[in-house]
Amino acid sequence: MKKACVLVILLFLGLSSSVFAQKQTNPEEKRVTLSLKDQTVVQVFKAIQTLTGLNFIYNDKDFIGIEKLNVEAKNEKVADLLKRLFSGQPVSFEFVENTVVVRSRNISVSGVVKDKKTGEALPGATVLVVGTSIGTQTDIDGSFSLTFPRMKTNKLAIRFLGYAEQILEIKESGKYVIKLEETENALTDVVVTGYANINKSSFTGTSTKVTKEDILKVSPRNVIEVLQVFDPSFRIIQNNTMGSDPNTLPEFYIRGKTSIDAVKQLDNLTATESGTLSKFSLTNNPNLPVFILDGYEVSVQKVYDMDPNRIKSITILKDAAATAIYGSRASNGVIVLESVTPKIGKLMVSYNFTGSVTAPDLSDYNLMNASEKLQTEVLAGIFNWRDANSYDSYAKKSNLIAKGINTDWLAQPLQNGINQMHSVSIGGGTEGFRFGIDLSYDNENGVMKESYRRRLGGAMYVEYRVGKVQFRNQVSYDGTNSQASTYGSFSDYTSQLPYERIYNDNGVLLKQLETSYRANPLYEASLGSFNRTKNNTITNNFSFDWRITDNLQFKSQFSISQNISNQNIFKDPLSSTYSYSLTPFERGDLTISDIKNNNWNLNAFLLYNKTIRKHNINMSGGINVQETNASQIYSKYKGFPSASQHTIGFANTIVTKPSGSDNKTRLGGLFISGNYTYDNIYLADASIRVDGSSEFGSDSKYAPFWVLGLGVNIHNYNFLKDSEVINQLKVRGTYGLTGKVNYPPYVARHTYNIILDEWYTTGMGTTLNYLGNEELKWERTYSSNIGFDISLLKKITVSASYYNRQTKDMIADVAIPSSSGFTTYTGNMGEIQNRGWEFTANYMVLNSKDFGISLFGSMAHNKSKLMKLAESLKEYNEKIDSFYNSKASYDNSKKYSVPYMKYEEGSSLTAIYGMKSMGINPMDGKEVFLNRAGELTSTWESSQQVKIGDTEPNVQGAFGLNLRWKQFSIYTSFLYQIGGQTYNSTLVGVENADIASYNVDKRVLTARWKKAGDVTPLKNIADQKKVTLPSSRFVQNLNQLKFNSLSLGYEVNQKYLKPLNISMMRLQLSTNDLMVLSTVGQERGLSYPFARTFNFSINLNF
Amino acid sequence: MRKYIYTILIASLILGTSSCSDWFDVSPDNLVAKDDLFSTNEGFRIALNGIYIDMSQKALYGQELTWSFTSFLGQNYDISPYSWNTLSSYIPATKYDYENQYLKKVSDAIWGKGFNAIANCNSLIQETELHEGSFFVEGEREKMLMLAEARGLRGLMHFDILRLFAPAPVINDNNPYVPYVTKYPTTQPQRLKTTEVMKNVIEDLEYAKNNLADNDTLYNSKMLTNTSYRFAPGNAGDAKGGSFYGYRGTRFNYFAACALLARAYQYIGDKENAYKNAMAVYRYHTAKTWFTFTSSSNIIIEEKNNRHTRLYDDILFAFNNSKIYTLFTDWNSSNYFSSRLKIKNTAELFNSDADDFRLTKLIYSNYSLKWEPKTGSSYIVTIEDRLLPVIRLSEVYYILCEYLADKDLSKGIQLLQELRVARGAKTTLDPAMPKDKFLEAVYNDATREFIAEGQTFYMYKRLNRMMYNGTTPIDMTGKYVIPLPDSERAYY
Repeated sequence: MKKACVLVILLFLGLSSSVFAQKQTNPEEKRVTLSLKDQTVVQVFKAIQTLTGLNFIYNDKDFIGIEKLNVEAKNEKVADLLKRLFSGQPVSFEFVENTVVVRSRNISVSGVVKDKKTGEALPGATVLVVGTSIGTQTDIDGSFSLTFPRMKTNKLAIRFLGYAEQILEIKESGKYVIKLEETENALTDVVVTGYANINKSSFTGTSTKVTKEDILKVSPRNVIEVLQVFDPSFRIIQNNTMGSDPNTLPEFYIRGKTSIDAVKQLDNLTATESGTLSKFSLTNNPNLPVFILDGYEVSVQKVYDMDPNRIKSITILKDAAATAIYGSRASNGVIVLESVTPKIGKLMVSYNFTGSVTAPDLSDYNLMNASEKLQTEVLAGIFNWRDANSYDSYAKKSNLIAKGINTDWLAQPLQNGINQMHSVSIGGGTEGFRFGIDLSYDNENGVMKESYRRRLGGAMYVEYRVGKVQFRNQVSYDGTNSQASTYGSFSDYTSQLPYERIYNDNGVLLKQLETSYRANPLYEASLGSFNRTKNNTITNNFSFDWRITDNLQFKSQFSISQNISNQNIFKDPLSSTYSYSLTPFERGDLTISDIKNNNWNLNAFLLYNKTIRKHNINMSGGINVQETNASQIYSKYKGFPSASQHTIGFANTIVTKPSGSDNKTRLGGLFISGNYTYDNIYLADASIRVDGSSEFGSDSKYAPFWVLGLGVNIHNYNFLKDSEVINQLKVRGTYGLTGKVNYPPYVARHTYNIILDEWYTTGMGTTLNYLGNEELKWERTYSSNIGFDISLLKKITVSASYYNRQTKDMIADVAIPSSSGFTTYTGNMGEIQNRGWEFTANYMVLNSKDFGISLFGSMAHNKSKLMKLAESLKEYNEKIDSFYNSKASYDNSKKYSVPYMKYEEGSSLTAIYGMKSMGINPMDGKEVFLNRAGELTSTWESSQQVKIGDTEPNVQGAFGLNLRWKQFSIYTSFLYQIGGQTYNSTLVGVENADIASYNVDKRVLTARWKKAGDVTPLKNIADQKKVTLPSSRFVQNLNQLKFNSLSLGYEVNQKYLKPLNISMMRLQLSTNDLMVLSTVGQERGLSYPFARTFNFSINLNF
Repeated sequence: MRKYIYTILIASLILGTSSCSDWFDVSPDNLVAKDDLFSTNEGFRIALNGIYIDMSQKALYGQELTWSFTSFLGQNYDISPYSWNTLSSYIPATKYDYENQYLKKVSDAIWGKGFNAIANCNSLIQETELHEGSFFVEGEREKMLMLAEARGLRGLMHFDILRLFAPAPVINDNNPYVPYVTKYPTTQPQRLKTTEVMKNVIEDLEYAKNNLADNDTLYNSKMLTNTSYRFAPGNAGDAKGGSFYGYRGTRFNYFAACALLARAYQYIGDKENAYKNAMAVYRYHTAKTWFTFTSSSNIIIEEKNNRHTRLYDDILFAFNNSKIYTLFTDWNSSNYFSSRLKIKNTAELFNSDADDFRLTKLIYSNYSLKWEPKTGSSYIVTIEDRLLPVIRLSEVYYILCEYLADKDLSKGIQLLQELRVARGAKTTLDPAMPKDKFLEAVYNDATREFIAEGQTFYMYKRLNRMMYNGTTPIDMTGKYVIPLPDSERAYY
């Protein structure tokens, strides 16, 4: 209290001193004569006071440590005397009227920095004296102490990552408790690399951060699809076949493709036809980024199935500066997820519910009804009126129509999926001990009947803190049960004739349809066939952190997880797809595949953070080791008595005895990474990581990866420091090398296969399995990235980056003469370049207490280019040619109508190949082509195919609006793409429509050539069944705008909740994929339709 | 602080040391890394067995090089009822339409699998050479056996690929056709002239012969003394060194080396050396009776299932595959041969010898019984049923006869007569027949002998004659050389 008084007086005096100084004789001029021995400072002051009448104001503490004084003065000015006595002491004097204010010349401050909300101490916060380079950091308890020379104004700046900076004015030494508030966009200020948290303002790399709130605003369900709203370079490939199937994982890439697909299109076709496609090659998408959850690598599936409520933040690391610390896995980008951890305080329970309805989106289908169809058949000349059979067929069909049959086949397998998702989390604790429990259940029903994906998850979190040491452990379980629709493929319904009945007159399901004699897909659906997958994952993640000193920290983490997935595909013995000739012992099929994955991951590293004057260093270095073990077992059985008896025990025969493969990989890395800033103006990042992997040749088991980044915070220069217009102007650039592993295991080593199905007379044998390449190197991507971040008028923020990624030593199959004993080995061949830019902007239009509007928009462009080609790719092109050349003229299989991508130097990885078409000749209704030499021709030749389009758009991105009024909020997001092309296979289907056997698109009659002189986009109707080979006629520009999400939120006023003991309640209505505007009229969702989703969610905190 | 620096140093040491480098060598369960396989003696044995298994597969001696592809080339089968059948890979073979896409797959597979077996040989040879004899359980003896068999198989495989894909030496074509691969891995093998390939073939076979002589004629000679030791299980345990040294008839043995050398010398026109090597086998037939012609009593058995239709007593070396039955039935069904293929030109071929067993007992209702699956057959026949003959005593006779035609015609006629008698022919050859006629008789007999065994094509190619086709021989100009497969051709 005493101190406070002094302070007030001082303030008052400080203001008024100048006023009175003029009027009276200067008290400094007062003189004294004095002789004292062995007196304390206070005694000296008292003596002077008695002599001169001057008052002294002081704080005794300032004199601690000053020895007793001997004073000898003869008519000396008081001021001079004091100066002489206290020279060399940290004390100063000020004469204010008749008073001498005695002050310590240094200020000593100590204190604790805490979180305002939770009261948790914040270790590692920076405390800086404004205008000097004096500063310190808080220790493990959040406490600090500082001593600094007094200045005119003394301000302390307290900074901590994720919290608002606090400036504290200090008048006197003392102890302070500083409470920092978490900033609203706290999370976005930090770049979480998984090995360190770096302040975004000092980071030179490029990353995008998405918080839980962001995710929930866009979609309360699908984490992965949300990301494309926030990062324009994150591109999900629209799956036109599988549509909205909840069991199909999205395929995506960041900043362009860096690899050629592991299984190329044509190889995929031939492998599927011969049934030799290995599961590994399918799961191995070479363009997939790496996912890191709380320090360990996880599969896409795990992220896909993750409850968004359990995610604290997602950081997409894009350029080398951000990813280099992941070394050999970094080339495709790294996505780091942090899960929510419980907060200190009393037990908090939160509950989230999301209910949703998904409705199929059939707006792209334009099929005929029963009478239209029959009319079309007549017009197309299907019926020969002089032929009795043909006439009968017509009569049968028109009779059915007369009976009122107009079956809506599209509606048959579809439903409106009603889904619910619940998640509960309980957590709390003290500084020393915290715990949390999460439970979640999600039942997602697809729009095809009987298709579902059910997810069940649980996690338990415990945290102990003893002194400087912290232990954390999290055990989690994730289970997924999924089933593919028993109704089969949606395309089985889109092609059915509308005048076919489903049930006969007695209401019994027809086994076979009446006019086409095809199997009734609904009969198949009524049987006991199924395709179910179970997936269970258990993970334990343990971490140990030790704050060794205020600046040095040791962190370690060890995770171990097991994933077991089991798929059962069963076909009912009653299925009408079995041929009549099969005996009961051959009906009914069961295929079982089991996949087991065991992984462990160890991280151990040191973090060092130090501010010395204007230098700030943030470093980390350590090791990362991981091992994965994957095993697959596959078996097949046939001959089952009935659908209910579908377990192995009932099988009559083993078709494929359980056989499988094992795959073990090991990866170890040693890294060191640092971020340095000088005066918050000059920034630098550097990382180096050396990785070793079991997947590489013995000659190159280790490889270094590195990055260097530089940046300048121009806004921190003096001339811009106080600018009202420019709040931020940062220029940054990085260059680095990262790698990627994406090919079957063991290709680097010479391996032998044990021959199991045949022994020789003298015993078991082995044979060479693969010609290993001991010189195989990591695929290297050199990427450079330059960009800037601007913030204007505290309202507008703009970030832009330009990148150039050069992938060298691309790993590809190198074809070798078969006299080597093999046809290929894996080598480093080829180069891919990806160049592009991306741009994001936010505009805070209005931001007041009750009302806020903000807009956001983003745009990205990427161009990939094959720079160098491997021989095997050239050979693959020839394979495509021979695929077409070997096509028999009568073979109208649909597989020939699909464009197969060729690989050519200078071309992109998303090109569409086909023959350049000049359109349909109005004279004869035949297509006219242009060959490579530029001559007109009527023959289609595979070798004359050229690039006729590119599916990668020129630009793509998102934009939207965020509106807030009192407790209400509205969020919208749109996705767009401009300048890409697509091959309109629906239109090809129209041209090749088999009018006699299937239902067709309404355009089938209108757009066809019928007689000489017709100018039409589609060829002669007489050639309808003749398969149309890839032609530029069907390449269309795809410009698309998608209303991706709309959500309306309401946060219930606290005053209503208090009596109910609820601390927070939020309601949200949202919808996804409400509308698509596209320049291409194409059927979407061929095997599984697309859907619109409406969600309702409640978040409650108790 | 110092403490922590040490921690970092230790951590980096752990990562940097060689023990860690080993840590990155991961071995899968169903695959064996080469270095792991060859770390034990057992691994070498398994690797050698693997080569035999490989060469006994469908694409090689299991089917194509015995009763399928090469037999079609040799005009053994009558495809006339199926000539419309465009789905079969083999009908184009009878027309020498090598560019046919289905046939191409077959010739490509022979080439590919053949060189794959060679790569396996090379890998084994290299690894064996790296070890001292003491590494092996049976010491130097085992090392030599390993090397000799692997080199013998390497020679054999190259020889047969050469006989298909390069012109016969008699043509004197100096262009390179087929590589001779002796190193694993070789990613860009060099193609060589026929003479150079043959030099290498002979070198490998000579090596095999020299290094097998001791084991097969002295140390473990018991394993070759008669059919039962050579092929039947049950006796293998008597082999010194264990059953790995048994079944010598199904392993590249000394007599296989001699006979194949005789065949190789004959192929390049070196009749002198061909004779010498053939005599090495012949002596063991006459002086020691290790090899005999299958006795008539075993051929004339009425029950077809018990008949010794593969005449295995005189097989010097055969591959072994227990699934020939499946291969044969698959072959029949996958080529849409609604019934078994008939043997072509039998009437002309056996013109004067209606009693020849090869006609009366080995052919039944015009189709060959050689490869016919036998159900409910006797114990011996089940053993015979797995054998894929590579070379026989009868061929040794033909080689001797060709040499003797110049040097000692009457001895030659006598030899041929001996063979004919063994095969049931009742008519006697004219002991005073002229050389030309004698040689015709030899070729005629060989053509009978080689039915559905795949050697006919090679013989006519070696002689550069028109292909035997009953009364209407086929002009083979430009048809004796199979073009290199696409998987090879694309790189030259």
